[in-house]
Amino acid sequence: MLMRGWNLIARILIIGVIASGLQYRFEFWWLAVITAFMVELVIGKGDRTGFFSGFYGVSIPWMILAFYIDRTTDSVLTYRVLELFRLPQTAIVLVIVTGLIGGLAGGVASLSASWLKASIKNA
Amino acid sequence: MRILKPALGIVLSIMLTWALNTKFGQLPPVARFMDPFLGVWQNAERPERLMDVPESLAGLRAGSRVVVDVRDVPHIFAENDHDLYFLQGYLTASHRLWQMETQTRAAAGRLSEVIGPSTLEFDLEQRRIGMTWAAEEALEAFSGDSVSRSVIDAYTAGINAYIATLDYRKLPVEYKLLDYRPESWTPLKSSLLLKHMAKMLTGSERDFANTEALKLLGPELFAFLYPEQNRQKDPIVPGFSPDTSALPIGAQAFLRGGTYQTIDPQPSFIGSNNWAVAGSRTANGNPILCNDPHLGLALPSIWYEVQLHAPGINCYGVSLPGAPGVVIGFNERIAWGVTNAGRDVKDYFAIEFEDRDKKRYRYGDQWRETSVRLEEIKVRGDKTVVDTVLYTHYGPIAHVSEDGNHLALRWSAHEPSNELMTFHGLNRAKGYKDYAEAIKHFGCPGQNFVFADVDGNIAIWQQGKFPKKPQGHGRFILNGADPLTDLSDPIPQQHNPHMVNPERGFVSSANQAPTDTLYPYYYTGVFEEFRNRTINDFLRNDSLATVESMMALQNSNYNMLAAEALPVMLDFLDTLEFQNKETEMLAVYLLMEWDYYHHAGIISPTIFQIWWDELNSLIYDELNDPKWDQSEYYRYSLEEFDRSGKAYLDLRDQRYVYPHARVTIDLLTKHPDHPIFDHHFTERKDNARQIVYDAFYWTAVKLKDLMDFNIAKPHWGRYQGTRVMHLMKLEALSSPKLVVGGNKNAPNAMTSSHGPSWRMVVELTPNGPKAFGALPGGQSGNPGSHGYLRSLRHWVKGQYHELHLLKASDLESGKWPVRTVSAAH
Repeated sequence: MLMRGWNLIARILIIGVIASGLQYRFEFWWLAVITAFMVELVIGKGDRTGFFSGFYGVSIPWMILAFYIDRTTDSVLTYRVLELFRLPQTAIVLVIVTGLIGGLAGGVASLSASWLKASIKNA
Repeated sequence: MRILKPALGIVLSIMLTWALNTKFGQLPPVARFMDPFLGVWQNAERPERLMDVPESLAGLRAGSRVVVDVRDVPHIFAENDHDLYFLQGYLTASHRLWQMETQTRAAAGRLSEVIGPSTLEFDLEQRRIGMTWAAEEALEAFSGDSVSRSVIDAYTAGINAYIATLDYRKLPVEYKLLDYRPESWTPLKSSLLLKHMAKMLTGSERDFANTEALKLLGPELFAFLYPEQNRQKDPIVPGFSPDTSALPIGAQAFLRGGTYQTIDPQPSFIGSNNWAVAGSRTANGNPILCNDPHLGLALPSIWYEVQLHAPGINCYGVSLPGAPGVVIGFNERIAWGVTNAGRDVKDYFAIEFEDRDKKRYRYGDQWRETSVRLEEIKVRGDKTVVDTVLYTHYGPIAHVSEDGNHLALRWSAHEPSNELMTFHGLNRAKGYKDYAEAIKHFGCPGQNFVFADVDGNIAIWQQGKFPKKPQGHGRFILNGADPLTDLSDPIPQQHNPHMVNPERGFVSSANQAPTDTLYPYYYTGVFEEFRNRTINDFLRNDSLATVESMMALQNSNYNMLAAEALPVMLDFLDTLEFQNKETEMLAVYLLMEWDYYHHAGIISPTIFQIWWDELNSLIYDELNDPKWDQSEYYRYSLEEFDRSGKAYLDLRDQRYVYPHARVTIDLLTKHPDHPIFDHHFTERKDNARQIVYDAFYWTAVKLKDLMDFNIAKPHWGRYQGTRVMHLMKLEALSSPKLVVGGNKNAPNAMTSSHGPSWRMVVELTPNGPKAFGALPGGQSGNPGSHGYLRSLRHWVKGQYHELHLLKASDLESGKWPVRTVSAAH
């Protein structure tokens, strides 16, 4: 159980680092999705943690960066985007929404990778 | 079975990723837009961030220097003209690219390409009035002159050099939101931008409205309600009477045409002030020049501040993003500014075709051939639309009535002229001669160019290409088959109204008629009759003008219309007849103690405005939409009131405009028993007294609603609700609602959507100009920049920034942050 927890954290970290690097270097957000899929496929366990590695692996760096940008820019654009999407005028809401969007895309990718891995292992 | 689950998962993942990467309706591609590494988060800027100036640029011929001051204004110091305009293009684009592209897309009728079917109608109109055709003609004129050609080429190259640096991360917010990428800039786009301005400023056409009103009212009542413009009161150039040879005669209104429901002659909101005061009437003995162009208040700001310095040129002012040079500004020796002439330069000719093929049309006793221009409009998410626009020798067939009548548009913006050379010349002008030479290039839209120089000269010219017309020509739709109506001979440029160093010591314009009746040429248009007199009265009284007194005049909220109309209106009231005594007495009290200033914090202007609007819609009920019959009338308007917080609803039939305020005041004072006062839907025989009270009764009802329900606070600033809206009309990217004073008839000409888009005051001292200005926005066009609204709070308070015309020696002083840009190879 403990080992499984550490492995999940390791995968989250690896996805986070690789996905952030790729998005920083190239201009495609979905490289994060591919990263989540590949990392989960290569070092994932094929178990129920599959969703969470991709979810947190993508959403945590997205939220950290969004939070950082929001703070350093005095939320200058945050409130405008919140109004655009008719969300409550609280900066942290947009940070969380950002994390949920990235997390969902990453999580579904890593989940499908873990299903694939499980079916390969069982074959 | 084991394969099915992972396969499903992968398909689901791919579909989700695709969905989050795709635009649905108004919703941007959500994940791409929100990814903080690339998306909208990357457009947020730190408070201290100013514009990026590259260290080296391919395309420059020599090294240049740029000072970016604390308000993000680039001061460009180049070694040659090419580099100057190259950098102007590059740096303007780095702040305003999306705005530049969108305005030119709109001009060309290409919005649907990026927006979708919702803008198709707009695009079709742009194609039918020949915007691109006009821009192509103008570009040919620019290209025929080696100077303007090289200026526009360098500017284009600079913009494209900036576009080449853009990756998705750096794209302006609006591109990310609408999910498309900028296209390359071309000289045609700069030409389109000038046509965009021409269209905005030549909307003072009343051909349709007059034709419809004439049909409705008959010639006698029409002539009474819509007299030829009163040219007695404070024209721009009094007593101007050039010697003329024979003038054309004879043109009749052509009334056969159909009904043109689609044309809404919007009451004009666009106006501007400019004036120059000679040293003899200023406290310091230096001439002072002022200009505040009133346009639609928009974000990003219409204007972009810049200083241009190269051998032979050192000027500062505001430019139009998308066009090279400075449009309104000053240099070390002169200052200049513009206001709109407001003369009618659009004529419509009813065309009679030979048959349904529309290949030939009647012209006198012969037939002329039409030509065809196919307009292809790409529509995002829909089929491409191809529209066939027919061209006559007058111009394109711009409108087709519901019953199939075709109207050709002749518009001075269609004629080739080289407006760029005007700004090129003014930017470098050293005195009156250079100014007078430079403005000759300006064809359309007609402008009042005000001028002052450091030697103490002041001048004003109304400049533009205006056709010689017989009395009445162009007020109505014309008969295109009659060669007598076909007049395109221009008034000689020297006969355009102008005035140099007049004895009274000032020149001014505020969109009033350019001349009095001594001027031999006929013209028509939409002209101001209140703002100009307020300004001239002030200038006649202020014999020791200072920069501060000029700023006060620009910000004056005095409404001369109210000063002339309100006492007359109040005189008609009889307090014994009041039906809602309490509110009506309160309203009377507030109006009687009012000094006619539309200050933001008081209620009286709101009461006057509601009353005036109500009065107009009651007097001119003949021109109202028939759907407002007696019973429905106020129920509707109160519903509307609940929704918008505005107490007044426009009841006008969209085909007509109400007569000029001048006429209304004359009716009240001189013709109180005129039949126009009678309500056509009541048995009662009304006169001015009854109608004025009816309007007042409803004003009080609405005032009470405003106060009781607090729908909108009745204070003028809140009631008017001025707001600077983003070009896409998205509230999220717009300014908050502002609490500002002013009124469209006051020098501080404010409405809910229009106002002074730039205020400038320049004193020309022997030691160089002392200049001040303010934009209702900022330099940066990025809603994620703290510079987006940087000047707005100063503008709201009527405050100004000092404008610095730097010299080359200032760059050595160490006081200014100088950045060098080297030429990359």
